[in-house]
Amino acid sequence: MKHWVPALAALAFLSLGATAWLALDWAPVAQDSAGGLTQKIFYFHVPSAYVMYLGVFACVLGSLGYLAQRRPGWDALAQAGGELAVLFSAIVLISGPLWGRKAWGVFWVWDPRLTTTLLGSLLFVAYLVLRSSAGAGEAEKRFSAALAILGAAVMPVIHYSVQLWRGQHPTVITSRGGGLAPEMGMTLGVAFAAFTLAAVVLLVVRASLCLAQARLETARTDAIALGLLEESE
Amino acid sequence: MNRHSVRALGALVLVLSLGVCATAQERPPQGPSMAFQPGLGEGARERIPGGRLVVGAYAAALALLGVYVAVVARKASQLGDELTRLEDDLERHRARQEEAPAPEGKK
Repeated sequence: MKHWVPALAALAFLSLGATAWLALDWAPVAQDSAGGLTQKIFYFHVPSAYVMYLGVFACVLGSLGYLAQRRPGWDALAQAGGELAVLFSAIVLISGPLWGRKAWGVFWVWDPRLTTTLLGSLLFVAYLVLRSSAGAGEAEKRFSAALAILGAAVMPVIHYSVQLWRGQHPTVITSRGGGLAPEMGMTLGVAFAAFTLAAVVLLVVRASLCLAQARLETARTDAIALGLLEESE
Repeated sequence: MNRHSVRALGALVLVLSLGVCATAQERPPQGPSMAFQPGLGEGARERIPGGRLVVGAYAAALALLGVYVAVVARKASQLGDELTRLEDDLERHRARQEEAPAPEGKK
């Protein structure tokens, strides 16, 4: 693993702590129609959605790279990106309804953005389940890569669903209205930086682990061929 | 992340998603565009306790991240040990083969 990863991990940890302090203590409480105190969920809900997009982007980039070059590094990037997308989409899908309970009075509505986010995350859950249960053969990796690329087609629909279908989900950062108080904007900026750092660390660590797994599989095959290991081990 | 963890994560996301969707009964009276501004004390007059929802959301995010990091760290540790052991075995085996005299027929 790269020597700069522990330093970056420490920086990510500190910046996530700073984000929590800014969000919970420093940033003001929003008006009641925006959720009041629960608006503070916004400071990690939105960066989590952004990291979900980053994860999908990494997964698609890795999948395309793997289909073009068949190198294990691309496959590792794809798997790490897929896990990141699922992890952060779970955070988005848990934190969003908790804000909605206060701001809307209900946990969930079949709003275009909520529904497409749910469907998109389920596609990447399917991708991970396929990766984990279909084996580590060439054909399985190619099929998974194709599924990831198809799954990513939902992402623009998620992003533009609010503009396209005018659902209930608010658009705070837009050129046609909305906006943030200065303290809220600064807190969100720090949150974006912290989540970007955390995403890079998780992506590098997980991709390194996938590569180590591939090395282990090769070593096992060699050991079995030399009679050092039983097939079942 | 091993197979069981991924399956468990998949099942968890599915169950949570379905559980949340099951409560979808009402259309809230809220427009799509909204500005977040300081509420001038309105937060203190909340009917639904926002504090619990905030704590719940932060705790859930922290728990998910923590579990993921713990699973990855455990996997990395196990994988590192096994890989080192196996590569050492292979290295020793190759060294022994190089040291051993070649059979007569193959000279």
